[in-house]
Amino acid sequence: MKVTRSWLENYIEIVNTTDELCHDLTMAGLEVDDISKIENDHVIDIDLTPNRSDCLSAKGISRELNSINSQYKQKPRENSSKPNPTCKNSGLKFNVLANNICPRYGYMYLENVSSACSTPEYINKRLSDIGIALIHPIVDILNYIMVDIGQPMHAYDADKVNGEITIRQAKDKEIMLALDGNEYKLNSENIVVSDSTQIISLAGIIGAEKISVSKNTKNILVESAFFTPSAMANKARRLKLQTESSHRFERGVDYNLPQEALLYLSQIIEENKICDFSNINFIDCEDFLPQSKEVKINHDNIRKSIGIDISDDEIANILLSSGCKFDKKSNTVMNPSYRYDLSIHADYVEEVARLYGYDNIPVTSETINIEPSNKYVPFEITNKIRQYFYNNSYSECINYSFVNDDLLENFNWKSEDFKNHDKISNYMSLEQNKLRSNLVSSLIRNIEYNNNMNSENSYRFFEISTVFSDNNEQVLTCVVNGDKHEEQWSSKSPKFDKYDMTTIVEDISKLFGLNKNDLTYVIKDVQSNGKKYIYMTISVDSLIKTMIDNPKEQYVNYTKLPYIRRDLSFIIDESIEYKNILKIIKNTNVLSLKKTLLFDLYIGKNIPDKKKSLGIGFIFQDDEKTLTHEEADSFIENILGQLKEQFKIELRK
Amino acid sequence: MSGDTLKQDLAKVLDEALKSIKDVNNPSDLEKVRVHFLGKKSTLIGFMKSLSGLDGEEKANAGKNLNTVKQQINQLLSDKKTSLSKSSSNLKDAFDLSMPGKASSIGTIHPITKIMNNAIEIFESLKFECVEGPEIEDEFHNFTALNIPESHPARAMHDTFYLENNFLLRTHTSSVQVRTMDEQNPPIRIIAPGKVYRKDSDITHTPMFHQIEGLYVDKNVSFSNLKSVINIFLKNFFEEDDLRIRFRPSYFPFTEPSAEVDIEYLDSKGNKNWLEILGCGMVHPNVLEMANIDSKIYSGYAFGLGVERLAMLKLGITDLRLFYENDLRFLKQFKRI
Repeated sequence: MKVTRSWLENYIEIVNTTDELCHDLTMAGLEVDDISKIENDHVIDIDLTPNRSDCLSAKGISRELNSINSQYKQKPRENSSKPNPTCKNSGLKFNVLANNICPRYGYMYLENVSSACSTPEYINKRLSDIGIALIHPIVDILNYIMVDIGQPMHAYDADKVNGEITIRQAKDKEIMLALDGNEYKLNSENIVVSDSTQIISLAGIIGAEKISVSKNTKNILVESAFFTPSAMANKARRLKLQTESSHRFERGVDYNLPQEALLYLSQIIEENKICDFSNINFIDCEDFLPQSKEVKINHDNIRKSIGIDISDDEIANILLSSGCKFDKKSNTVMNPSYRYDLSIHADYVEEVARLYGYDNIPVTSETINIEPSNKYVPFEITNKIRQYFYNNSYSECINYSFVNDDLLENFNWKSEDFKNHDKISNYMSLEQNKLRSNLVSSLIRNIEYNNNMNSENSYRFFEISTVFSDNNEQVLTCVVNGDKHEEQWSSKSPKFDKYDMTTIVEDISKLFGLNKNDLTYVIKDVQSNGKKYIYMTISVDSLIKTMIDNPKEQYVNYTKLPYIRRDLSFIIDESIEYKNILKIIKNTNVLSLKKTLLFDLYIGKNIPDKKKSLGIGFIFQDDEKTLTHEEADSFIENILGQLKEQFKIELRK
Repeated sequence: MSGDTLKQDLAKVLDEALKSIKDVNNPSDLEKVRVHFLGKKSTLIGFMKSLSGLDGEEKANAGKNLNTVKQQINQLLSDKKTSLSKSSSNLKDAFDLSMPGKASSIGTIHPITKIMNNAIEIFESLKFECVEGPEIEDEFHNFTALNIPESHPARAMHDTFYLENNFLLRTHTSSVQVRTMDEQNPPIRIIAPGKVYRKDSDITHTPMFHQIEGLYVDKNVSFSNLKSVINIFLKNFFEEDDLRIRFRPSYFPFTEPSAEVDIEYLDSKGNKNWLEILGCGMVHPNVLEMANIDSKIYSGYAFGLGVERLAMLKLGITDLRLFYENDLRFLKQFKRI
């Protein structure tokens, strides 16, 4: 809402500087966004909150300033008389069908508008100062009245109206070509003003192109109505349209304004001798007009919930200064017709706090009778993981949850199924039309981006975030590419391989006293733009669940008797997974086997095709007695026998 | 070949070997030198083979000379080998304190995470308990239960991303308030940190950002308590006891009275300015009632912090979008834990 200082001075006395005035407005909740200097004046741009429709006019802002501080004294209004009409009503008939939405419909005729007439100079200046374009003298005057007192009105070319005017619901798929040049497809939730042949305006929002006022218009029908705010809400927005008029009606215009506005119009027309005008006509349906509400004021509640020491009288004075009616006997308050935001007791608590001044409210420390809360386990877990990555030279990334249709973006991290993931119906760009179901693609993009910008030899990124698929769950993903370490002098860094990811999974499981088999994870590699990336994903949600269910760390007794180690090196089919070998070893049920240690894996020269060579160390130890070498030999024979039987392994010399 | 020419040739070979061995400075080059002078294809072995063409005494003399040279070269090689191994151990002794170390193992934590943890820690010390809620929400929890009915003009303030199944991406963490009040009875004292989404993108808006929502519902909670908790938080967070803070009336459908909080900061030109830092207010009675909390007995306050904004102010970042580019030149600036 833009207004000039001089415009406000029309209503109130201002002794303060414009900066002081704007500070007062801001501190009362009418935040001043911008002050710009123009010749001998300032334009003040106020960012009004949607509850304060009463301040969408110069008069409203002045009234508000007066409630904030009575030094902004209201100037007495000149006693203006009601002008005598100079023409008759034309014969047009009106029929308000939607009177619940339009409980007050006012109109007036203007005749013999000359194409030579012009906008009065002071109106011209005030509109230009706040950036409203001049259109037609009558339209300009209507715009001026809207900004001045807050009532939107509309002008129709009266000679183009055919037959009876009806205010009704639109029919489904009814179309209107509006003043802005756009065609709007309507439905029954829209309220329209129509004549017997066509829609002449979308009620309270915008007029139809055909019936609009132009330079050659001779006779004008002016509409000044009240539309119920709740019925107007969202109507314009649904049509992707917002006008000064709809903005005001949906927030709430004082239902007493339509008369005031038409009277004001006739005065301006008479003063400036612009054209002939009729008397003012109204079609009212009082039942549907808003009612002021009586609310009983609880002074103690106001004092307690704000936390201030304020007398009953002071409260009453604040409410009276807001334009409310206050009955001291019954302690009841009634809101003025322009204050739609005052309706329940809490609204009055706010009004008192606001005008008392938030800055004047003391700071009172709390007395809380709540047990000190525990640290939030999920955050403790994710922070522990972050710390681990931090200590291992990984960088944490945070990416948008949005991705596009690219295949890479589109797999479920667990199953690699390509599914239709959650699509955003009103996405901003095709690049961001879905919710990601894995973090891999985002982290690869991060590496690619950095490789273009910085060209490192080693990339180590991770992210912890919710991903979206059948179950929305929090996961941890790390993606690596290139060398394991940044370039340095002491030795050449090895390249990353998937076993580096296995180490991470194992380390993370250890951080939480778990085994990697307790985690839900995947380790894979993937190609993107000709480069190979290795990644690892762990379900953080299932880790959190395990941790919450898991008991605390417990000591387990161990023996101090000597151990014996035996090593086996053998050749086995490449396809046999290590876990199956471990399973067979476990099934031999050698109780003295304390530890199995893989110390060698070799594939290549001297090993037959599709075979691998493994070296496994076995550590035997008995809890009760010192183990003999013969016993150790028999254990290893047993294990070897089983392995030979199951996998046809071949011992290496 | 005469004995004399051989003598001369041998002297030449020895001379060459001396020079070559002297120049060598690592073991593998030394091995190459050895092969060159003593290997199967070397000049010396060639001479050995040519001995067969000589007569008795001459052959014996020549053989003797050859062996002497061979031994001399061997001696030179072994001396060099010893000196090389010494010099490599000398490298270890000659530690250079100013040299860079080997590969560093320190990574980076995203500044948003750090700022968020920083804020959470302060609130936890003020006895707030952390809770989380879903990022995909329904209209009820995101709007209706927060006193934002379908027709409310305030819904225009949130540019919401809708999913095809009629769910939406939460526009604020206030939805977690609703879920907590549904499940818990007062006293309730929580913070809800997390990601939120709005359809907006420019230098000061990203379609995803982070918020921390706070809620306290109990008997006798006042606006003046709210001022206290916000003051303590901001002064702690910015580590500035004299931080100037002001509360301004504002409007949110789910609080009443509502306030926006500004802090005073110096801009690049050294001018004092007020900067909006958070929104807060007393929980609207309709919100309490919708959660079956008796607003005649209980009152509460709520606040919502924008984590990015806090991070920008604390770290001096001017472009919001930097947070989501994940450029290492950006990330590596925040090495401190």
